[in-house]
Amino acid sequence: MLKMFGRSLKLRQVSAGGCNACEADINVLGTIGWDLGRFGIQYVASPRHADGLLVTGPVSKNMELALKKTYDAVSEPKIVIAVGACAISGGPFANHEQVRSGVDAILPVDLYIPGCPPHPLTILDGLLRLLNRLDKQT
Amino acid sequence: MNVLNSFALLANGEALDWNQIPEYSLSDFIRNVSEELELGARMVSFFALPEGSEKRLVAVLALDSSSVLCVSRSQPFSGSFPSLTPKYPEAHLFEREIYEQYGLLPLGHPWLKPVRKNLNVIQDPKNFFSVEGAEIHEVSVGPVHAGVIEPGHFRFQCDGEEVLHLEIALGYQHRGIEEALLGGPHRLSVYQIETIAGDTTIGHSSAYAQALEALAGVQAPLYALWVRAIALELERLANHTGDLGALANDVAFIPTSSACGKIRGDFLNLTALLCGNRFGRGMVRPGFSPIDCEPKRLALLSDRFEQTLRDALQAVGWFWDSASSRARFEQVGSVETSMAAKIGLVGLAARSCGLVRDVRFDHPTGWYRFAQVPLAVWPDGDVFSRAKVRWLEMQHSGEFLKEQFNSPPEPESAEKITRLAPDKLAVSLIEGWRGEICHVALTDSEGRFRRYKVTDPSFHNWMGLALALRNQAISDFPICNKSFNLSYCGFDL
Repeated sequence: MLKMFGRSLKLRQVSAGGCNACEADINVLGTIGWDLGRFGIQYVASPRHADGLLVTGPVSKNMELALKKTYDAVSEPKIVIAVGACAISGGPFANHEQVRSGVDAILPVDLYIPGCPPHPLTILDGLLRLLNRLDKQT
Repeated sequence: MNVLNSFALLANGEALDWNQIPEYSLSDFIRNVSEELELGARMVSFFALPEGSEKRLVAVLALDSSSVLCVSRSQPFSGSFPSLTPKYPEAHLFEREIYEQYGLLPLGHPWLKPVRKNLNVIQDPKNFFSVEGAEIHEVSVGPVHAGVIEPGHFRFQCDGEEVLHLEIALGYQHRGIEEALLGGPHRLSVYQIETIAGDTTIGHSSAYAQALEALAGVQAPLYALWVRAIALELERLANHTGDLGALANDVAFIPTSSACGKIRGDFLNLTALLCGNRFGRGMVRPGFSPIDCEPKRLALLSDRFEQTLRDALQAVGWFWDSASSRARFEQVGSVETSMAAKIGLVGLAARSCGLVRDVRFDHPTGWYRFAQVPLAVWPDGDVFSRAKVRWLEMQHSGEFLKEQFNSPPEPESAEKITRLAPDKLAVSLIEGWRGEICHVALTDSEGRFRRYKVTDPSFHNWMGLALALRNQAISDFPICNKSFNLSYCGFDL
């Protein structure tokens, strides 16, 4: 499946209770200094155009339905990437009754990228490793 | 009777005994608050807290020109209270919040809806204002938007291209921060504070540190205050640079957009040079400074800062040199000065409407008592004005930082705060890059948080965006929205 996405991966980002720091450093990868597009990876506006989701935040219960609907709108096969401590485990909001304490509480997660927020380099590293696009020597 | 007698006065970053705060019957309390608002006070915070089986209201008002804050409280009651909103619209969201958090009904409130918790009610289509007419159509957007951005729901009532009314429904990011702080400070509290709004980590963590220092009766060392001011201005520069780039992007002026996207990151990297994290996580702690910026690192910081600032001013300069881009911002998304004052705008949105309102100037604390940043005000209230104020503030913060880099105080050792005084209330304001951040902390008899009220500037300012859209083309929504760039998570808590 990942081979299939290997040269062109389109991701739809969903913030589900994120504080806007993970979102900001995801956005940074699209700027000229990083130019994510050269790796064939792009953020897209519609889940219909996406191969997967890039989810941030602990998954607030108020975003649960919207996140599920967005996931359902992505066609198969699809991947889910959890970015940041909140998306992995709920982070500082873990076990609050207002959140689901991580993306894998409601969706199958293929890749976890840690950090609060993860450095853009960490996010890029995670994406390229997932696609098996990192040079073995490095 | 002098109304001020019915309030306890304090300065920003101070605490006072809970039982020193005058207590009035509900009707007298409401009358006192409205008289004070009538005389020109500004509502900084207004909230309820439980008192046995009943509830009590607490109001914090600011007299900006006298650099004074005043606090009053009602006697415990239950049921309802007379709404201040019909006369003082700046109270409207506070009253909705009180209604949602504690079930107290503001009688006469013109638009009573929950604000963040009860999403089913918030986003029920029949709870939105709707315009009737054969030519009217409704545009509904979100919570998931077509970009890497936080969730919120917008409903536009349009006549053709023209927006007659915009209603903004939030709450999607609600994580229960205020509830989690009860009984604190807990080990996790400071991390939750840092992520109230991730792009305002320094602003909120500074407000928290200042509140705890007031409650513990501790003076943070000068060195810690210096570090906080540097971090706060770096945060402002990073966000203003990013916002001006985003605004340029929305009118397809790509040079500024591309360059600012990168330079914003350069500013974030300066914050990382200080504390290891681009957003300033771990930089500010109550009572002391976890950061010790030795001379070599300070020299590097100062050098890289000068270069980054030059780059930023040059990149934004290209935009101002382009008359056709500039013209796209003029007379778009205007909010009149009198309206801005009425709805209680704060921060750069208020200053862009000609209101002289800046915590660093009106209620200075910490390092800002020794070093001033000049105020930036522009009168027009439109997108241009909000861009212009950001531009002026970048220059002011830039000059300020260059000066401060030359005069670091000696690092001092200081103790972590371990105990807070019992039964005290502290008010802590910080001018974050969006505007006034307000934390009100009240301790119980054990010195634990009995109530911790957080007000992000976005709480005051979302209404400004809704009003800015009136009679605008809906295609101008992106630049209007970017010109405010408000926080969803800071509102949703």
